[in-house]
Amino acid sequence: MTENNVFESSHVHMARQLIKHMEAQNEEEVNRLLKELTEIRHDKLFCELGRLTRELHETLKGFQVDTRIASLAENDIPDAKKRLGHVIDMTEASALRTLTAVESSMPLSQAMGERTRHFKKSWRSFRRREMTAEQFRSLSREMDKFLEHTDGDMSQLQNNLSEILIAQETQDLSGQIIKQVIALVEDLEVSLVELIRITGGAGIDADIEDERSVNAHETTKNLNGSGPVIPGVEGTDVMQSQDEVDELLSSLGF
Amino acid sequence: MDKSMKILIVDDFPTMRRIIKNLLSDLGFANVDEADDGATALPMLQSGDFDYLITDWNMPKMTGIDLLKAVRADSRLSKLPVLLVTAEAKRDQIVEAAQSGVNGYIIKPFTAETLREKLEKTMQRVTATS
Repeated sequence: MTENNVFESSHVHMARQLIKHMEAQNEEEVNRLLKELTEIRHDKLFCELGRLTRELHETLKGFQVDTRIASLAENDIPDAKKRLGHVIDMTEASALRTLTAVESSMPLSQAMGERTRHFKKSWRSFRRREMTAEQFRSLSREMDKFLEHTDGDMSQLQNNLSEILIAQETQDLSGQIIKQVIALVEDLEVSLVELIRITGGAGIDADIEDERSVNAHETTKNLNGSGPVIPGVEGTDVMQSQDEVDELLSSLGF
Repeated sequence: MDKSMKILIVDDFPTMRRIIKNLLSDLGFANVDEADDGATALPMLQSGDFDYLITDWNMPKMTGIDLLKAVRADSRLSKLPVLLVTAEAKRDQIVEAAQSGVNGYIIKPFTAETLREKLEKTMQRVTATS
């Protein structure tokens, strides 16, 4: 078949034959020629379909090889799940730590309040000179005890408040981890958009896609090895504690 | 330790800045200022008269390590004691920080005790050499 002629001379000839036979009312011939002419169209369609299928196959093959989707599915998404799981663990631990400190502080504060109220009464009597010497001696002893208790309780309370303060650290760490996962999701978004575009999805704007692609790769750069230590995700070469950091620094002479 | 020291805290998470500020206050340091990025911190350091810098590593516009390097490169700021408080715990990063002249390195999550200890240690060194 020639490339330039849409209709072959043989086809034109067949069409002329068709008209002749139609005018001559030759039903059998007309049917035969119609069948032949339609088959030509079918052949063309099949050829075109074959060509498109091969193209799609090649593109998909190429796509698998050089995009992020495969590595995203195998590594980064399980990674992200672990990271988010760790966030849950951290925030839970932090909340429990805070609750423990609060639970310890409530009775201390309450006891302090009761003791103070009791003392107010005794002291008021004393000030109004309504106390006997014996009662005053008793009051003195109680005062000693009160000061002893309060001193201890206040220290404990101070520690508890410190605990609560430190427990808020997890917001920073969780935030950093979640930022990493957002970057990963953006990466995934870009890859999926690409896939949809290739498989013939309508209306994907190429410009938006390019911009997203650049942004995602920018953030993925920061993804590599930055941020809080996640048990089971980060590999070698990451210090697990302040002690390890101190050891490393002193081994370097700092 | 000189409790009137002017300290700058740099971290892009406000909660972290607040925690460190509170810890410093517990230790008696009330002269404390804040910045949310290395980029905002550097001009503050250059025009203020800060005695101590506590900074995070990961920040959007200018990272802590770049801030440290900028401080060491500035003749007026080169002796400023710098404490890195960060989640970054990779060996290479710690080495890089040490080689860039950091005075102390604390990894998150940290305890009040660790912060106090490192502050004491680095401040002692500073007063010893000045």
